[in-house]
Amino acid sequence: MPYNCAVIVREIWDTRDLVGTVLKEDGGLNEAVLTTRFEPEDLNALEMALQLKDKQGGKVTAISVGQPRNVDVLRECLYRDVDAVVRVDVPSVKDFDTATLARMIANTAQKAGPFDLILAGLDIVDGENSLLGTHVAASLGVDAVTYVDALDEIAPGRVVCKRQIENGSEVVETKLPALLVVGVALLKDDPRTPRSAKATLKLKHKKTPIPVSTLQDLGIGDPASLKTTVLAGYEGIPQRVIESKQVDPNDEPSLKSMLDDIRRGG
Amino acid sequence: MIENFYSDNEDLKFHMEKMVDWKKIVQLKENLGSSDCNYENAEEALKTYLEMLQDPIGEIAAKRIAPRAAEVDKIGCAYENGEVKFPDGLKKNIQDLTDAQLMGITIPTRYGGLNMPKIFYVAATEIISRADASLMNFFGLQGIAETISVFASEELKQKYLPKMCSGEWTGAMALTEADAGSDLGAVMCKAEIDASQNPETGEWKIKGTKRFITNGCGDVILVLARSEDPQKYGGGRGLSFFIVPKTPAVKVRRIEHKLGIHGSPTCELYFDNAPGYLVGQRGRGLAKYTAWLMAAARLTVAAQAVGICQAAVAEAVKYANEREQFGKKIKEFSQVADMLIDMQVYTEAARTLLYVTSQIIDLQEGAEMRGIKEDERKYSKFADVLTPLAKYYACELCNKISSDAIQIHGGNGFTTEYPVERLYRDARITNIYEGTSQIQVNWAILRILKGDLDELFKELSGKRYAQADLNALSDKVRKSQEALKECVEFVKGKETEYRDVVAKKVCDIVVDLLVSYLFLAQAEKWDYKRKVAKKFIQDALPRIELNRQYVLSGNGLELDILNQQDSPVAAGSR
Repeated sequence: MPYNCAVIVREIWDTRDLVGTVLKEDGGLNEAVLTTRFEPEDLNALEMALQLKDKQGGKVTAISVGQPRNVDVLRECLYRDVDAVVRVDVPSVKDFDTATLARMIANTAQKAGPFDLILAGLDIVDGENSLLGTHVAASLGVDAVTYVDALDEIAPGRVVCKRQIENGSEVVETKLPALLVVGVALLKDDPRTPRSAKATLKLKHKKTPIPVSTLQDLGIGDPASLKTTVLAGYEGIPQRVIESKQVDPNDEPSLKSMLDDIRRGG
Repeated sequence: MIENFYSDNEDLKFHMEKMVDWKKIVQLKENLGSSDCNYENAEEALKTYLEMLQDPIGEIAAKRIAPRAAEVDKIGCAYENGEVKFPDGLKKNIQDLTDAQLMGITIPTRYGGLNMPKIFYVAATEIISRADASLMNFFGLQGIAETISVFASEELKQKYLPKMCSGEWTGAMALTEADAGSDLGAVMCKAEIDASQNPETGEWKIKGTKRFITNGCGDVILVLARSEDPQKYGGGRGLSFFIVPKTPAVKVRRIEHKLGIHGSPTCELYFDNAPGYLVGQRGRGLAKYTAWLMAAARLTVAAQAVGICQAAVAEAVKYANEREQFGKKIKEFSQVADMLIDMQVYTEAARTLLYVTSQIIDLQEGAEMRGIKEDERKYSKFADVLTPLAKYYACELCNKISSDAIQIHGGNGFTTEYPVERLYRDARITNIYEGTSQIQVNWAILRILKGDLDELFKELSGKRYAQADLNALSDKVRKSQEALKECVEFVKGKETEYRDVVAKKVCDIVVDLLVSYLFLAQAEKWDYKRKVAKKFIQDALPRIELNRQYVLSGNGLELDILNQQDSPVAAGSR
């Protein structure tokens, strides 16, 4: 039986292989030197949705907030055979806190749905808090399961999934619709390893118009009113400078002193 | 883990982004702006090509295929009860290529392909081969679908191409027999047809044995077989080309146990009156269709060789950066650095020849399609020399470069702990299959002596640069080009035997000159290439002189050394 899924997808800073100065003097990001990429955790969530579609049928809809910078994540979703995409038409996600973004996504999902499942990747862009998914669930009033590694079973009205916990995993069941925050794919041949683009879809969708929803369409008058946190101050991270030391491996006292340094956290 | 085999390869990117005349290629290949064309203009096509090289091709190669390569090599293919068994990694690789819809790259879209230019396919082949050289023998078999697309009847195209493009069916080409290797005119496999049937469209029966058939267990086999009466049409003139679908009458007798490319099953096939369908015209199987298919296959093998070079250089550089001896990284030792520089420069040299050749083939095929006779004649003349040269050069270099990669690794490189020994084993087939290096040289020399490259040399040597240093280098190369003229004149006046002895040296001179000029043209567009051009020309000029002296010496083979009854060389065979 087919199930319809929505997937939340984001474009994030590409922090791999950073060279040069990426922090400004005040500790803030020097955005001009950075590029972006498709949030890899969201690709895991997308893969889970596409695998469910391959197996059971149904539609996959991808939702994103804000304008693309280097990577158009929604177009990338089309290249991977999602059925529909929606962009929330705001200039930048930076202007909003997690609760506000969650409301925008929730309203989009309500408008584009109904969905049996809403999938999100583990969030590394909200300060490792991974809260966007759970905020969306709260906004929609549906159950949320976090750190999901696999969908074990899905049936009308219920889903059984495996979630990671400390020192192992547990199997939990919840009712549909539900929001799942998908965990990190670690293994090379993890069945969730995200698929690449499909060549003919790349040809087909390279200029497909991406539908947008304005805040007005979503019934959000003043997004500032949705804000639950206020930035009261900002302190940048000082650049860490790690000096390397050469230790003579044959000299016992230097080795001991090195170990002491390590113990002290030096 | 390296993330993407296209975006991490600055040299390949440079060729694709800066050196290829895409506008011309796309205008010939596509009906820009029409409803059956995927692009509005050439820029859009180029953007799509480059994006596609990155994802899915570079992405799948780095993240999926490369991590499986060691296991595929270790387990290899197996033969049990008449069936060929693939290692799991290979099955996954084929599935990934199929899922990404990459099995019909050059085939027209109406048959389910992508209608991409040859040069794009060659770049994709290089990228895939870098991840796993043996997988080229599946990915690179798209030439079979292409042969069907160019020469077979519409009915056969409709029947076979869509499933080949979707990856549902894989192909094989069955040319070689036990006694017909390089000499395909000696093929014995028979094709017969009942007098009641129409030979053009009817069912032929194929009978005979074929050997060394890559993926002979595949679903669609192109077979070269003797269809004509040997009394009337002997040798190559009696051979035709057939599509033979997989049926119980096509039996895999065994697979070879090979030094390398373990992820590619090499089968012995027995056709037991297997049904087959004629491709093109009778009697043109060898001269036209096999020649066409082999030219395509040679280019693909050259791409495979460049892919192996790239993998070997990457491994060697990585190791030389990590490994420390005498308190410093080994890349800081001059002899090691010298090897690394050579590996890099000659990989770039092989790549240069590969992509110039591919571009010329695209221009030739495009001109043919558009009926631009003058261009077709010009480019086809160039392509006929450049294809064997590119194959010869890249494959010989990939043997040398993968061997040097082991040398950089020292004892570690000789163990299976490091991937370089696999690269070295995989490299070894490249200068053997689809025509040995010697066969390539034979092909090329005839055309070089005929002057088929003169026009190209004229174009290259006449080029002037804005920078004085490039002009100075170009002048030196032009001076060196006199050696080629001298050699060609000298060899023309000699008998065939002498020509064969020095053919390789003449080809080496040609390649050195070509690559020198091509590097200079690259230096105009990328500052780094000035250094590469300078280094290459510095190496090439004395090499050209050495080869010139050898060719002009007039010394033939010292056959007495080989033939003398009591010579130490012959001792083993007595």
